[in-house]
Amino acid sequence: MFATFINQVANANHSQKNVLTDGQISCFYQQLPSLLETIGQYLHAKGITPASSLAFACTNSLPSALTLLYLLQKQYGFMLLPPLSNKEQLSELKPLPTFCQYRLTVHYPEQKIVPEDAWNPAHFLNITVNPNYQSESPQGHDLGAKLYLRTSGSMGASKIVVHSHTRLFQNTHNCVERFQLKHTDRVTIAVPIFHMYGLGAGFLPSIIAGASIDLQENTNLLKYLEHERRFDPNAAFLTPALCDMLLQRRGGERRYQVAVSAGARLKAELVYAFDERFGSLVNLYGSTELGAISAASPDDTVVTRATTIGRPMTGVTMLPAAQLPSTTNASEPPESVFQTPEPVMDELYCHHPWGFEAYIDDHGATISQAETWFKTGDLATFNPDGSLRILGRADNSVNRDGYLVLLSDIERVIENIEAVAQVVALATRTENQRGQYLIACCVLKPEMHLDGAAIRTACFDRLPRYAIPDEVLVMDALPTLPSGKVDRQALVAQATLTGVSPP
Amino acid sequence: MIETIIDQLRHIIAEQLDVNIRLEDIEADTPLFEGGLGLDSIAIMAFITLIEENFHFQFAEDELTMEPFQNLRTLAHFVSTKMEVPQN
Repeated sequence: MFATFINQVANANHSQKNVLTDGQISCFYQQLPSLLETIGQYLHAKGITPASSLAFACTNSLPSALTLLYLLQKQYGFMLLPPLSNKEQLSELKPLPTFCQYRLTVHYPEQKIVPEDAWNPAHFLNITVNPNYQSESPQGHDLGAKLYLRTSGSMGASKIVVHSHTRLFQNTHNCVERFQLKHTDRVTIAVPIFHMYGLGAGFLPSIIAGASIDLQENTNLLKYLEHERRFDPNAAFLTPALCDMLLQRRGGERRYQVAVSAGARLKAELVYAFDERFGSLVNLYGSTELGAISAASPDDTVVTRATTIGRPMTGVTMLPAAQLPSTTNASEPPESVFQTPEPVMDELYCHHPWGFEAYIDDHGATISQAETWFKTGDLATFNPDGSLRILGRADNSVNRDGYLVLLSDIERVIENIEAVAQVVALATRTENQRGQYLIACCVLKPEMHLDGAAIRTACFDRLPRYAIPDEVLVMDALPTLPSGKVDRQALVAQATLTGVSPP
Repeated sequence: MIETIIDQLRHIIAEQLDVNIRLEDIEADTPLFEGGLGLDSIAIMAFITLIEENFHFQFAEDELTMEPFQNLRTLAHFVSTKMEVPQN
């Protein structure tokens, strides 16, 4: 699959002029076969073959992207990891899953690249053996031609999601179709390609389409504007926060054929404003497990694009919980909910023919096989025209900076702060740039004195930035229900009255 | 002049920006991004706005590049050029 298509785009007429770049170095599609071959020779010399399973810390750089393409071309089994931050040393990293034999990292300084070094895997690929590797891992599945991703979910124990390359390819193909990507397009990818969104919806579809591609590592407004000036894109993969920044700061004329946003809910007014100034902004809905589930098309009306996540991708069926077939293993999806004349609001379930295969643990043992109907955990409105609107999470979690955060994880961390006796984390209806505005309401232990600001400061050392509550309130007591449980609704009302001052 | 602006910028980061960085950890030559203060994309956006508010000028779009934002020294030099030109 991927091998065939990489070959096709490398030999197409446009392969001599369409480029892959990261802003520092570039290559033409035409050069792909020889560049991938060089990577292959290097890996083979190191004793690494498609039978070895790898963990690959992938950056949005051209050397990383080429390595990724090589692994897909030769059907390696590999796990994608976020790149090391500058502070991290290899020795202090979280242990790799025991089924990964090697760790691949890309050494690629952000400045002053010597072009010859950039193409020499000996200069950019760092290979280390996983000291915890167990060759006799108890997995119930074949390790080859698989992609492993960690669930983007909570900060607690994460699971590993297994995708086959075959299904990943079909998922990729769905995105080419929906976003109407063509070889004449110039696509800038401002989201990480070690995530399903950047990889399966942005990077790989752009490759399959033969489009020119610009990769942005760790982007911000300043980098984005620089890349835009230099690369002159007509298509972009963005986050809602970036769209917002562009609207605030970008003047002048620029037309995008299509700009895709995912990772968090896109506000309707943002789509209207973007449409007027820059072009068609579409909302993509997906997950690490299923890849692209639903998305608007650039041809949809601005109202559809602003208020919905479009229609399900080819082959995908979405159902409200109330209409799930009684046996969850029924292979035939039932009649469509969209035949009802009125919008239906319910929890969203999804049947995806190109979704993941299973969840596994760090030893490669299967936790569970993918079920026919995947519970997304989101509440949705099913419109009669076949489009969907996501209303929010059905459980106590929120989406912040594109990460799923369980409120209970935040509570567990704050509870460990010494002065705190009890804490409830709340998501309010107000939104800021990171997502829903989060408040933590704390009750202190007797004789303890600490204000909200101090508790919040303590959170900076204990929680990732996206999970830090926007405000911490100290209360004498938390309101309770007759059952004795904390009355979250009353608390939201109370917290909103007492001190919330969202920006 | 430059040193005064650097000091003002340090105070903006420590006191007005929602990042939990202490004044004493900010030096003129500390990189603002990875490997330094580690400002993320939302923080840098807020920082740009705070600079404009505090120094009473607006960045033109073509001035929004990584070049002046390497560290507080480069940024202070940039800010000083804006302050010499009276804004209408």
